[in-house]
Amino acid sequence: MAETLLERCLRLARAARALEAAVGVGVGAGQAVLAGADDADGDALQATLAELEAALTVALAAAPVPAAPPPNLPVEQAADQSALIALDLAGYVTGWNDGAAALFGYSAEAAIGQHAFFLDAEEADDPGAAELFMEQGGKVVEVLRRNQQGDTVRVAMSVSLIEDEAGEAAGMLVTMAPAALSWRGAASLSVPAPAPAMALSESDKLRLHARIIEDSEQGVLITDADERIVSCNAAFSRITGYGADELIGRTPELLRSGVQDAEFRARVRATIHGEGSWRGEIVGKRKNGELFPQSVSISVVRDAHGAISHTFSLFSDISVHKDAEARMQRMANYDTLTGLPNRSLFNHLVDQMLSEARRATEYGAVLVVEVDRLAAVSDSLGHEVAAQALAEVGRRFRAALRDADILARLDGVKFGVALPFIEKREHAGLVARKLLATLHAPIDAGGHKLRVGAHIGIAVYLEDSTDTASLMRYAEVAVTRVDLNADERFLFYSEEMDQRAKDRIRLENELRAGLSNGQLELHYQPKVSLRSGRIVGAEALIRWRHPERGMVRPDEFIPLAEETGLILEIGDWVLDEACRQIAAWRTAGIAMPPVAVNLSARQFDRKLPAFVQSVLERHAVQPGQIMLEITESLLVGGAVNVIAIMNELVAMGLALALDDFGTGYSSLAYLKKFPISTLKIDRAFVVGLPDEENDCAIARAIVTMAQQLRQEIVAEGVETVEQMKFLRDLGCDQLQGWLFSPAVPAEAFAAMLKEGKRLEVAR
Amino acid sequence: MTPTVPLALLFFRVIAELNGRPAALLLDGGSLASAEALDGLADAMPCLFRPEAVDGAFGAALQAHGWRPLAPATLCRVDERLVAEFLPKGAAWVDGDWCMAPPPKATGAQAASRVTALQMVQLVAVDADTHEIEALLRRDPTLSYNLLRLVNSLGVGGGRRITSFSQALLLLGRQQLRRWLNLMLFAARQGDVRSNMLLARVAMRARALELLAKARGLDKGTQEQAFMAGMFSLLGVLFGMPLAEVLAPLALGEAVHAALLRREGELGMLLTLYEAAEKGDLEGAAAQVDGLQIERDDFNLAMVDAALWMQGAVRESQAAHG
Repeated sequence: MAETLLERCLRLARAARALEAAVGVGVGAGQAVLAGADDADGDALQATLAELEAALTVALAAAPVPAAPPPNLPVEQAADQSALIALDLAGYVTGWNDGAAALFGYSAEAAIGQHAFFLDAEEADDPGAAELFMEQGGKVVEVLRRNQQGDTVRVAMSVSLIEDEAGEAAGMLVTMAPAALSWRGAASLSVPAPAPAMALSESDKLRLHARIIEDSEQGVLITDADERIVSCNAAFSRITGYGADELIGRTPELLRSGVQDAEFRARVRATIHGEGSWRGEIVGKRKNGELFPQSVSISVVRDAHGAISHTFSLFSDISVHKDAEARMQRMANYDTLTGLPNRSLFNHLVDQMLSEARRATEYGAVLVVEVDRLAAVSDSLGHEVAAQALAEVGRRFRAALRDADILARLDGVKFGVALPFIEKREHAGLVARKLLATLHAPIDAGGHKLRVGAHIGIAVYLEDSTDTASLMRYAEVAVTRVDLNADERFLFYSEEMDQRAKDRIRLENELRAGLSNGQLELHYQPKVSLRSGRIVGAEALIRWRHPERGMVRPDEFIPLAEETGLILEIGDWVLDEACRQIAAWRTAGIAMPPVAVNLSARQFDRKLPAFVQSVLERHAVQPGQIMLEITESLLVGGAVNVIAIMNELVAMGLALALDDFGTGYSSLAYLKKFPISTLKIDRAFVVGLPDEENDCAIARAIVTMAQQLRQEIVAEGVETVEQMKFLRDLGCDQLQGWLFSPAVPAEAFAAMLKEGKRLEVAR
Repeated sequence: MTPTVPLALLFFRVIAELNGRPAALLLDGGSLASAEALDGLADAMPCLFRPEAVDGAFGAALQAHGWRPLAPATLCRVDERLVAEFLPKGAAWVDGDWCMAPPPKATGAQAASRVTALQMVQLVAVDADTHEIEALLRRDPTLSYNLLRLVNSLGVGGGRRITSFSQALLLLGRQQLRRWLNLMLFAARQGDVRSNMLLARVAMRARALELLAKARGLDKGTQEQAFMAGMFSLLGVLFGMPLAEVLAPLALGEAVHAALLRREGELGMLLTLYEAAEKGDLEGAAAQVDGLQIERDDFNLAMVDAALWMQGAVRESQAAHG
């Protein structure tokens, strides 16, 4: 009923005026923390309110009896034709007057039931509107909206609350007028200024904000312009151990851990002053002296003159995350026996070294050192003695090298050495001699004096190759060619050593042909639930049926495809083939769990989502049927772009899995930024379960991290019942591996599903 | 370890204080393979059990974990509208389906929780990760509902079915989300007397269904759908409208629809199972648990976890209400 609505508006307007008057004196002590809330235009507001009241009084008198009953609150034609739009509490249009129809071109029938955002202009750059309700209370803001013709219109908008008889919010009333008009017409009565909102009075707002700060799970600390603490909340006291009474008036100096230096603090300060905020991770100190990592965002509040009046910081204690993370980083990247980097970290460091060397066009060398006679030591004196000896070899090598040189234990009795910045090739030979010389003195281990030797293969950057993988391979090739009876127990790589270079070219040509001749096929490796033992998915794995060599495994040709760029075509083919197969299964009436498809980092570009979409559409496959598996290296690469592409894929309804997790460098904090729903534990860590302590710890750390992020955990390469049991008890969700089934052709996989093949997982 | 007698099912009901606020857990019966799982429950709110319904050893374990035997006279049952003045003398706790009774008037789907909306504004303001926003959304069925409805209404999903909250958040984008939260906040209001209790029940349902889906070996996507099914299963009651009408403006996945409106499919079976337990039919529920090949101990642990989760949700909303 129009009368009720209009009367309500009237009553509201009057109430607001009363309220406004009260607030003028009501903004009280203790609220200084929320600086910036100025109510200087109280007078203007008063005037506006009076105007609204006048307009509504006129409208009430003129309003015809409406036909539509509530809840479609009729917004009747206002005398002045400014647009009035009634919304329900969720923002859907319930009323639309002629003014709105005139302004936007939509009829009431077309508009009612739509969400208010349907008028949004895409280029809507209206921070004003975003802040409208919270920050600006009852003010009129100018925003961009789009009319039915698709044109952008600038309008002055305000919003007020409609209350029901009981005084409860029943809807919202939006008033809009063309912005240009309202400027010109401000003085004239023909276009009244839009109505101000009254949802939150200033005092309510302040009370509410104070409450939110107090109850926040994050610690909040507020300092004034002189960096003295003026307020902190309960969470802050909980995290640091300091009560508010101990902090107020002090400076944050007493929370400082001393871990970050003054220069770091200066940088933070400069960022805050420049951009208004800083966000990052720092080390703080609790009252009991304990240091802890915290995630912090610091922002400044400026006064009317632009000077900083306060600074507020939001803290979360992330020590729990950090612990797991650091442990895992350590375990994943360092060899526990020697304390040296392991192969994966070594590769990473060599990558870095090469990129620097490339810039400086310097020489670099990679050495692979194989220690001799340790196997015999292990056999005769025991594993423990051999291990001690190996650790000592590591120490001697380290001592013989420059600080900048990189030493790692690659595996077994092999060490890797990387020499950045050598002047010429021969210098690598000098270092090799020096390393060998360290082994001349006998090694004390387990009460025995042992004599061990070594032989070394060397590959030189710039001459032999320009990438880590080849350098490593060449050095490994060279180390196998060292003549153990010769005087010089090291050898530089030379091209004749590597038949593979030639093989490679042949393979590449064959692969190209194979791709177009239909020699590639997909096999499916089932994933089974560790709860029910049932098949809950499959990973599509590529196979190459070579006309002469038979089935070729992917690890024999995928790296090559990656190097040559052929992976792009192959990757596209894989997705298309998987979707074709899913569609074929659907036609055959086989209910299929989601199929995971591997994506190469090189496929990950702007065009990927559209490509995936087109393939899904071509085969009429639902996005939920496909899971995309990506490798960790992708995350470490070019982050921002990658996140946007991932978000797009997830918004399409696809799920993302992170393959080979644990082998790379992603940290929990980092991982959180990506919309990944499944983590796969790399087979490298599964192999040692449940006996290798290190592998168990890594698996445990991964599961803990994944659970914090509510991610599903799939273990790869599970081969034994013992591994299965360990993973199951750890809380891992699914497994794939030979224990249940290898990758099988499509028909065999479908048959497995049909017969309901299960894995025995019961405790 | 294969017990000769199958483990009895465990189920907690949330009971209210006289003012209708969810305030305590009541254990009707059942047992656990390991009582350690109970750690923490009794720290958050009073936890009561019926001594006659559990065996002596488990009763002792409960007491050791801070649970107290229920004095029968302190509990009353209300299935219609809750009016504190009409409660029997000596009553301290209210059980029953009073919160499922129709609201004084249909509130419709609109009212959003101011508390959650504010917390979310905070998160968006510091550009929090989608994970964090999603975690908050999972605690508030009304806000979740409105978000899914908005995404569908604006057509940003291109007619796609929405199968997870993160999908909805990503479809909407941060800027829109921020503006929408401000709008929701503007019109937010307190729920009726039933809503706290209903929210507690919803929290239990949602989390329990998610965990049961997991216990049944269903994948992460389905677990998420199970959560949604649980979360939205009481929306009709909350809004005082037929559920089908409430769900009409959403583009939910078919599995959730089938479960909510027809109790069909995997999720439908889980919902039926949970509702049987909620009604106190633990024998019927036990038969279903066995039929679904869910380990009984897994069911029981899921209930404990769901109760902990519910306590978290209740604590968060009550703390913020002050």
